Amino acid sequence: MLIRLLCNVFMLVILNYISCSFLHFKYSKKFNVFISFIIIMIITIMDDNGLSQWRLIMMILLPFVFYLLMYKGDVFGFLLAIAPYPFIIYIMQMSSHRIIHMVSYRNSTLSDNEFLVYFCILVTILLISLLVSIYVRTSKLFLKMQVPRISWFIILLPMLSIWILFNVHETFYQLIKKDNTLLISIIILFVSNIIIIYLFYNVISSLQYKRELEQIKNREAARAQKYELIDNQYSNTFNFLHDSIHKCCLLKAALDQQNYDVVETELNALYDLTFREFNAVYSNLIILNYIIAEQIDYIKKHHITIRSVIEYNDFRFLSFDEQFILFSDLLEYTILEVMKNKNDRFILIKTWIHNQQVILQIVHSSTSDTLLPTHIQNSLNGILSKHNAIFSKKYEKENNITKIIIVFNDRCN
Amino acid sequence: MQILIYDDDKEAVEKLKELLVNYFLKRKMQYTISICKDTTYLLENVQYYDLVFLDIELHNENGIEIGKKIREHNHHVHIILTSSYTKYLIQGYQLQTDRYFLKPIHETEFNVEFGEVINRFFKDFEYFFDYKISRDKLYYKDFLYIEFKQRKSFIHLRNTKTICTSYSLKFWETKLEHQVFAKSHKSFLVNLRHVGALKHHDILLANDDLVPLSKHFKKAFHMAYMDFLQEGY
Repeated sequence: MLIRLLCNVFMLVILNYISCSFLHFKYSKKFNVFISFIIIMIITIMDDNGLSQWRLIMMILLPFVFYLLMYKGDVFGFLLAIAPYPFIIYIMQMSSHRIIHMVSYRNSTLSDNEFLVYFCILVTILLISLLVSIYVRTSKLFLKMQVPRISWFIILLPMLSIWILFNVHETFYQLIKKDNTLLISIIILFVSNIIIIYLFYNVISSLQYKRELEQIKNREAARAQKYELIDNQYSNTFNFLHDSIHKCCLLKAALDQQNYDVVETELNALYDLTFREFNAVYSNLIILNYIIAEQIDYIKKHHITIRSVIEYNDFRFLSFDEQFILFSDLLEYTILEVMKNKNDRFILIKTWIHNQQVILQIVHSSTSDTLLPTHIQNSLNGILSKHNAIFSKKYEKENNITKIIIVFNDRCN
Repeated sequence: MQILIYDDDKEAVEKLKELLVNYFLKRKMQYTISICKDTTYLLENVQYYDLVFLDIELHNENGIEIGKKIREHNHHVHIILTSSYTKYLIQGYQLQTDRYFLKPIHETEFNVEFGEVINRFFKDFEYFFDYKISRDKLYYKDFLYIEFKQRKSFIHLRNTKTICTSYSLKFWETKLEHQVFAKSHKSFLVNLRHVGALKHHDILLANDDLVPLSKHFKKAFHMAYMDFLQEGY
C-alpha cells in the first residue's frame, strides 16, 4: 500500500511538472494540490484492490480529466503534456519490474528483500525523473527555437532504445547472469544513449545562445542607429532654428534701419530656405522622410535638390528592414553619383502603381553610365529575388541623367 | 500643341513659360501658350487645349477642386499640377494628373518629366485605319494584344471586342515599331501599356487576360517593358 501510494504521489508530481511546463493553471495552486490529493487517493484505492478492466480504464482516464480540469493552454501544449503520460505509466511498471527481475537474477536471495524492492523503485523513479527532465527541457528548447516538427524524432529515437533495453525478454536476464560483459555492454549502451541526448541538448542550446547573441547584437546595432538618427535630427533642428534666428535678427536690424531692400532679400532667402528644407524632408512615405532627414545637412551643404512624387506609398509588402535598405542604399548611390556633377545636382524619387505593379523610379543627374557598388547590388538582389521584382538602370546622355527603375510584380503576396 | 497656364504667381508663370519655350525650341515643335486669368474662362474653354498647367494655391480657390471640375467637363485634357508646397502636391495625387511639379520648377526635372508627357501625348493619338476591318479609327492605345493564329491576326481591344484581320504578325510588328508593343511569344504582340504583372511563363494583362511569355522572348520582352516604364508611363 505504502509503495503504491509513493509511486502514485511521484506520478502525480511528475505529471504536474510536465503540465506546468507546457500549460497554465486554471485555478489557484492550493486548489490544484487539493484536487491532486483526491486523485492520488482514488487511484491508490483502486490500485490496491487489484486491477479490473474498467478500473484500468478509469486509472488511465483520471489524469486526462485532471489535465482538462486544472489547466488551460493551446492544443499543442495539451498534446505535449498528455503524450508522455501512457509512456510514463508503462515505463514505470515495466522498468521497476525489470530492475527487480534483473537484480534478482543476479542475486536470487535478495528477491524477497523489501529493502531491495524500495531500492529498485527508487532507481526507477530516478530514471523516470531523468527521462522526463530531458523530455521537458528538450521540448521547451525545441519550442523556443521553433524547430521543424520532424526534429522531435531526434529525441524520440534514443528514448525508444532505452525503453527497449528495459523491455527485453526474460531469457535475456539469464544470459546476463552467465555473462558479465553483456551486462556491461547493456549499461554502456544505456549510458551512451543518455550521453547522446545530453550532447544533442547541448548542441541545440549552444545554437540557441548563438542566435540570441546575434539578436542582441542586432538590437544593439538598431539602437545605435536610432541614437544616431535622433542625434542627426537634433542637429538638423538646431541648425535650422539657428539659421532662422540669424535671418530674423538680420530682418529686424534691416527693419529698424528702414532698409527695405535688405528686408526683401532676407525675406526671400528665408522663404527659400524654409520651403526647400521642408519640401525635401516631406514626402508621402515616412521611411523616405527619415532617410532624407538623416542626410539633410549633407544634401543642403552640397546643394543637392531632392524631389519626391510618391503617388503610391503602401510598401508593406516589403518588411521595414527591406524598405530601409532599399531606399537608403539607392539614395546613398544617387547622392554619390550626383556629387560627380559640379553644377546640376538633382534627384527625383517617384513611386506609382501601373495596373497591378508597384513602380519605384529614381531619376538623377549624372555624368556617365556607372555600375552600382557591389554591396548595394547584393542587398538589392536579395530584395528583388524575394519579391519577384525587376531592376533596370538607363543613362540618357542627351539629358545627362540616369533613370533607375524597380518593378514589383507581387505586391499582393 | 495648345497649352494653358493657370497660376496667380506672375514670377512662376514667367519661369514656366521660359521652360516651355526652351523645351519646344530645342525640339522645333509647334506650340501656343495662353495664360488663364479666372476659373470661369478655364472651365468654359478647357476643351480647346491639350494641356493645362494648374497651380494648387489660387487666390481663394483650390486648384485640386478646379481640376476635378475640369475632369467632369473634359476627360481628355492633360493636367499638370504645380505648387510651392509638397503637402498640397500630395493632396493633388488624388486627381491622378499627368505630372506634379514643385515650384520653383527645376529645369532638368521639367525637361525629363514634360518630355515624357509629350511623348505619351503624341503616341496616344496614333491610330490604324482600314475600312475593311473597321469603319472607325483603331487607336493603338486601345489594343490589348494581337494574336496570330490560323494565318490570321486577331486584335484584342480594351472594350473586350476582338477584330479579325488578314494581316500577318510581321506586318503589325513593322507597323507598331515606334509604338509601345513587344513580342512575348512567336504568335503574340502585347501592348506594354496594359501589362498588369509579369509572371514566370505568362503576362497578366490589366483585364486579367493571360498571354504566354515564351523563354525565347522573355529577356527581350523584359527589356522593352522596362524601357517603356522608364519613359514614365
